[in-house]
Amino acid sequence: MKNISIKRDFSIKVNSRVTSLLRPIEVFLPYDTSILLKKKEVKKGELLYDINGKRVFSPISGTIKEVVKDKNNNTYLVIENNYKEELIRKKKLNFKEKLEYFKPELLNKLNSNNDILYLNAICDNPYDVSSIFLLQNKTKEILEILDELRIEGHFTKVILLLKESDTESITALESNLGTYPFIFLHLLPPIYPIGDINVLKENYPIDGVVLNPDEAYSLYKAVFLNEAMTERYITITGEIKNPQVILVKIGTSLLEVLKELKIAKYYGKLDKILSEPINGKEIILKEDNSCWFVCDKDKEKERKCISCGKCIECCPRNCKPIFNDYKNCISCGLCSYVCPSYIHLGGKQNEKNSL
Amino acid sequence: MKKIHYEEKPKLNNLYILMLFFLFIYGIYKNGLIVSNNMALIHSIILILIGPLSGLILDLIFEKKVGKFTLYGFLLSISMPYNTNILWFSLFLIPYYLLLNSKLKINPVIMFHVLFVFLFSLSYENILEANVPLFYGMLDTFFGRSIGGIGTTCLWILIISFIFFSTRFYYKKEIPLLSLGSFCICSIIYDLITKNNALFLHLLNPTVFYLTVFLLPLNEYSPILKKNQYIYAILTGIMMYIFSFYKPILGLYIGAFIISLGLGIGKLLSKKRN
Repeated sequence: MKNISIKRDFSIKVNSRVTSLLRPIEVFLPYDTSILLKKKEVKKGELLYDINGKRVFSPISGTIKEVVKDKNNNTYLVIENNYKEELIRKKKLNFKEKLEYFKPELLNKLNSNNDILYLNAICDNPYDVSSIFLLQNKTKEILEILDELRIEGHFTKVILLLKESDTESITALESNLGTYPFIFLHLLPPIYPIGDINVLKENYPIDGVVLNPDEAYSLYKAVFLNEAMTERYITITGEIKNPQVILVKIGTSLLEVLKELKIAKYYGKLDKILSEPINGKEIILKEDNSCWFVCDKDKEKERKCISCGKCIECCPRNCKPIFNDYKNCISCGLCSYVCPSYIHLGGKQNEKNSL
Repeated sequence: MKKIHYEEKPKLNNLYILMLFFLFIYGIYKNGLIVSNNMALIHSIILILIGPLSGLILDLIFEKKVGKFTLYGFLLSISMPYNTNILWFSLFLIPYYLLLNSKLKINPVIMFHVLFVFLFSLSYENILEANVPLFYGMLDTFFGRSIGGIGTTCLWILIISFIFFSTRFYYKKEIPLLSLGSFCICSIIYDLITKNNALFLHLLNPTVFYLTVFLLPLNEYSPILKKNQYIYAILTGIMMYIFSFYKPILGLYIGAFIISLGLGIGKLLSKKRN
């Protein structure tokens, strides 16, 4: 793997205040047609079903409207908002029961016999400030849950992994670390995409459980507030007037968010940064996508491959994009980033997957 | 979308052209100004500029900016011997430019150089070198006074070029290093066997540097995978050394051409198989 640090365009500045858009008309939740759902009315935080080992909770209160499919044939359950925000809180559960109810996928992780608990707070995307905002706004909560997990999970220590260049997150964490003697900060070089768990494990001797800030915060909500995670931060940035971080309900349509922000005209010009364009498709804000980049200018035209081999040299997962070998691809987009002929190599892989 | 793309992209070709321009200046100094012959000066200028200018016209027609044709035109014309016939050379440029866009990935500069010099049995000496018995020392060679292509004799510019190119992301710097290394090792082995002391004589040949620094690492005509690049570089170094016994300058091109031919055919066959 070649050490590549992605340079940020400092003319793109994100507003320091978070905009809350927590009143969507409807939300789209990942669904499987084999699930039988008898309810019509749902409450906020209500457990609806399990899908692919993950629990799906309703982020709003409202009425189940219909089941829809997107262009990629993904099925979604549509819930219409009644704007009442009727919240369901699970009570009288102990620590383990709470984890089992809210985050069963993390329970196995935490039960494994490991000594160290890691928080992977590395933000690879130079334009994505969502996790920085989360770390800055919820520092105390995240540190509190990590310490609680350390005690309950019998971990000897907690290590917070950050990039040397993430100065804002470092400052936010350092100022609160004094009261947690078993939580340590570890800084890593600003190499892309070291935040990816597979790449991280290859380059850093990780022997333990790894959580990300979103997971840690959702655990905080589950353990201390008896609530399911219903909202998340996303960054809408790029060549627009007012790049900003928005707090949205999980499952909100991105188009609706852009309409609220009065920048819906950019919908077709969105890129999932360093990965590939998703033009023209319905985008649902799931738990894993946190940054959307608007490219108002035309992209550079693709040229003929000059066989420089940099896509192979840079690939952190030893793929050979030039030979169409995408085994172990993590869609980091580094091959497209370094290509001197502006070929969207990572994009070709995404297109293949969607077909 | 330049903001999320690697920054150094367009600079390698420009750097190539810039360094070739310095070689061109030295070329006209050595083959025109020192000789003190106006005809020789005009001949040198036209011969070196005919490649990049014709390439530039093609680039402006097809790409609307300086690009591949200009660079490859420059690379070929600067490597030609002083005695090249300008008219024949201009005619030769037509199939040369056509080959640039073909699927056959044999290094066109090396191929056309070998073909042209072989076909017209050209010698690499300029007017002065052909008529006056000159004995070039090691320092002379370093500063460019040696026999070779019209603009490829200045060793220090070639070394500086390599240093500059090595800082570029898209330059395959392992190729010149390994081919020079294998050339050097061959030379040492030969010296040890024959008890000769000609290591520096071989190593300070500027054509070796021009070939390894400028021509062998050209992205399109060199292997993609690192392992293959190493094999290609080492084999080219060895072949260049072997053929330098046949002819000290043309032999180097022939050695490199044989490996490039093998690579080009291999690439074509693997493409057909896929």
